Amino acid sequence: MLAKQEILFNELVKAHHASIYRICRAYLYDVSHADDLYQEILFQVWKSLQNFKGESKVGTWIYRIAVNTAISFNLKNKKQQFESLPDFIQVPYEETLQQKQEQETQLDQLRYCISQLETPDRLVISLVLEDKSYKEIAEITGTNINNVGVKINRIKARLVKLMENRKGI
Amino acid sequence: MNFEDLQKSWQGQPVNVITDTSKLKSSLQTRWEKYQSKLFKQKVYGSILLLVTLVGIGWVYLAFHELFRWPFTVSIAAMYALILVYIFVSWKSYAFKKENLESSSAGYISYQLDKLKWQRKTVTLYTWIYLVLLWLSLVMYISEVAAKGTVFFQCMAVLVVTTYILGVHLWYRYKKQKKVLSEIDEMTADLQQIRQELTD
Repeated sequence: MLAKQEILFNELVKAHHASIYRICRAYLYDVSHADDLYQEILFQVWKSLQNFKGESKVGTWIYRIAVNTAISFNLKNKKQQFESLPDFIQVPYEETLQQKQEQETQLDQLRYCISQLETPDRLVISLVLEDKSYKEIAEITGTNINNVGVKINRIKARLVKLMENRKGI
Repeated sequence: MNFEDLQKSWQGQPVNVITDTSKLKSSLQTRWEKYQSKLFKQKVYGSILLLVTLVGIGWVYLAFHELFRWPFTVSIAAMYALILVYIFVSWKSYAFKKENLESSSAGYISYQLDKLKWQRKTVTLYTWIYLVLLWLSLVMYISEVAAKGTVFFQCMAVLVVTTYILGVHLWYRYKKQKKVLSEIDEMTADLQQIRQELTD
């Protein structure tokens, strides 16, 4: 791979690794599968860099690869899907323990509720959670921009409702 | 509870992944080289094999066509047609090796659906064409080679070949094809559903 592409790859990983990882976590509840998906996305980005012609924004390009790899990954690993126990919680300092645990519990509930959404809705909400605009989400997913807003509001409302129901348990 | 709080909490989650690209690069490079080498081997070995087969069959025809009648020519022509079908299917399948990940999800899914449709066609239609051509080439060849034998011998030879090809086909159809088609259909249904829900 050319040095220029290596530099671009380094920059992309540095700028987008957290977002890509969170998309993986939104798409796959199980942390080990999410880690595998993250590795797969990086490989696909590395592979696709040679064909990158700059026709779309780098951000849109990388999110398209991430989302499309997630779709394929999910299809290939369909039989291995299962719901795992919450992630291992690192024990923080005693004074912040309760607060950290509360945050982790809420996050895990959120991950669980996202996992209850339909596959396309999980993809869309993962982009919404990353603060992507309607236009960007429409470009990434290929959805008509006029429908994106309606769809997002519906998914948001469903997610909030799922979280409220979960809290009530 | 509102969505903005959830979003804030989501973005604040710990991200424990390797970002040091020098560590990532070696594993990605190894995977990439393996992938490239596999593709290269498939292309080179496949091309050499086809070339050798074409030359071999051509030589058999040129060397012996005067000794035999028309079924021999039909047999050779059927083998050439078989190879041409194989080349067509291989190149079309190779064209589908491109993943098209840079497209929008709806475009990507449509591409994957075309790919699955092509795989289904290969498994169903082209397997049939392949088998018929193989049967034709073998039966013509055997009937010509065994022309000097008795009618019973000729019939038995044709029957053995036909039974063998039919047996292989039935085994393939009920053991393997059924499973492959069911996997293709399941993936097609899933992808269609995702596309519909994304674009509706």
